[in-house]
Amino acid sequence: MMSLTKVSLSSVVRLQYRYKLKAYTGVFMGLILVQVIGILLTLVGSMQTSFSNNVYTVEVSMFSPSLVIILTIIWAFLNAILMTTKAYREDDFTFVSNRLSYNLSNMAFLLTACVIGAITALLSGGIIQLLTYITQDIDVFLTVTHEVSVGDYVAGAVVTLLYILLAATAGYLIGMMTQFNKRLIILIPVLLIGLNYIAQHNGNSGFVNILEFYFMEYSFSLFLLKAVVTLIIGSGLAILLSNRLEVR
Amino acid sequence: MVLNMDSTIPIYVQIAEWLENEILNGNLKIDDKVYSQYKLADMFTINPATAAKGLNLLYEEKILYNKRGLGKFVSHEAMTIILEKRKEMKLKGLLNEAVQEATRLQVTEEELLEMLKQIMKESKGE
Amino acid sequence: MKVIECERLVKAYCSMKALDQINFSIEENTITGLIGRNGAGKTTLLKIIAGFWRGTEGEVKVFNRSPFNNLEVSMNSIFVDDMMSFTYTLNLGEILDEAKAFYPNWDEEIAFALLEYFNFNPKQTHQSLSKGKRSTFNMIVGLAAKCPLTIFDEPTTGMDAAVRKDFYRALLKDYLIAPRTIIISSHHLDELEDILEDILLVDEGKKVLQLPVDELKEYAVTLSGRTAVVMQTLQDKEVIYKRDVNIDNCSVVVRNNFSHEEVKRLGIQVSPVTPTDICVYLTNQTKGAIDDVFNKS
Repeated sequence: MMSLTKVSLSSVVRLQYRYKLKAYTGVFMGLILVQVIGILLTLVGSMQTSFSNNVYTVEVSMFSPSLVIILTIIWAFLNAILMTTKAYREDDFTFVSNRLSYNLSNMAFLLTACVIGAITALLSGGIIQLLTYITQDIDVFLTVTHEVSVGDYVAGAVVTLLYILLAATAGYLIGMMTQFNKRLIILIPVLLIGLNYIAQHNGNSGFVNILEFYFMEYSFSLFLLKAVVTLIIGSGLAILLSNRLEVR
Repeated sequence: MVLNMDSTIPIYVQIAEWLENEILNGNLKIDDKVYSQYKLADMFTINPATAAKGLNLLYEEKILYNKRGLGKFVSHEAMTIILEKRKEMKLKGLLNEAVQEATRLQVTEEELLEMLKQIMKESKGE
Repeated sequence: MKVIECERLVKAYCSMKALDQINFSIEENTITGLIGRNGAGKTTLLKIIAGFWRGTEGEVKVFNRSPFNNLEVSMNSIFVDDMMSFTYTLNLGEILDEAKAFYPNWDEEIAFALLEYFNFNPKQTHQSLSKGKRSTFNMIVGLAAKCPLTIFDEPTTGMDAAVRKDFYRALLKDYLIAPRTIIISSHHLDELEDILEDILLVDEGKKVLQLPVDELKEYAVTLSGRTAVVMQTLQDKEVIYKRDVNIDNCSVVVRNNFSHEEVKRLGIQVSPVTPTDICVYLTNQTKGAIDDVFNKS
């Protein structure tokens, strides 16, 4: 008889992760596209303020990678949803997989993609500066880097990454919920907008509350705590949900 | 070496008959090792279990004997058993059918015997 | 040893039962043909065995484990159908390389030899293949994986007759080299029956019968002759199907569990029924035959 092959979860996850890096190149193509668009939009439509007295006019243009980061966050959200769709799932279950290994390898892949997305988004700041310097007629070029310590820079980078990861987790969880019940595709937005409306009606600030919870946190360590706990809960929920999912 | 797959005779019976023919033709001699079930399966594109059934059929009829771990071999009395069996089963069956057909066609006993003698004469002459 | 055991397995969608208390087991290292009409529950059954779907009730054991969500079952089995999905970013050669990483028994030599034999270009993508070619490629993956449990669900979809013939031969040869448990569901029982050991016939989510193919060949016979004479002999027989019944002549399919000599003497012709026909007769959901539809109008 052919003997049964013993198998460890980690080895299958590793295989699936490696497979995804090769198979999901579209995710990275999307990233490049989104960030190039972000850079171009930043160059064209940068925030401009001008003041003038009668003698001279000062035009101040601010160039920052914020738009690129925002677009990257949206990219992470959408790609995470995409990863939960039937088409992607079937690729996995063609070869060896169970739901846990499928989820873990997806998460490992998303983490990788988000780290790359965060790094390139931050680097795009440099590219924007460079392109601005080349293309715009500028007299005084100011950067703020010298006021930022390395520690702050790293903290900023971590926060950027966490924002992107939060978006990816939200997308993944929402995607998994809709996989479980197609009606949720309509139900979730309706529910969210409805709740928001009710909240606002009762004098509450609604959505803004949730956003403030994450975006208006000025303490780095508190934010870190909030984000990591959210990531763990979100991923855990997604795994629990998909554990009963029928595939292929 | 093609079996009649469309035939209504079970494949394992056809396998057994094919092996019997190999013995009758002298391709397999006394104490020769016969093909294994796997070899037969490969030769005829059939399931090895079916081939094994064919071999077993011959084993039960003592046309083949077993050597443990070595396979099946042609027994000493294989030829006699096959000839006896064929006479009994096949020839009788064929004659039976001929008689039935003759009755249906209203051919008399004398006519049928005459036909048989004629055929035997012809096959001897050639 | 039993590789698959199903006990009162039910798969229900709302009120519809795709599988209805099905009981059977499959022995190790056998080739079983899963036969049944469209919608009989074949695919549902296979997907539950492969661990993709969950049974609603009852029990299913594969390698003595519950297959749903079981990594070990997934590792030791492969499910091949025409919906097999491969990423478009990898070409056929690369897909085979990936499969090699996943399956410990993977036979690289056979995989690429078959790829060449069936005239594939390793640089092609799976999406660019025609339906028949896609089935052929999926079959190559299924064979080369050499999984202890190999499941083919309608593997020959779109294949032409020559490729189907090659496939059956390849399957048998590979099985002889590396015996394993194989299940094939197919509409082409007549082409397939010689390489099968057992047949599992299902209908309306239930098992109709499970027999060695050889026994299925002798399962039933057709009695044909004068209607009056044939009808007389039917009393102590299990009638499976009546066909071409008219005033003068008729032929009736009955269980083959009586001495033929007796009926032959009455001038009734006794002829064997092919496994394909038996399966059709046993799973006939309609009363009568298709001819009746036309005869009435």
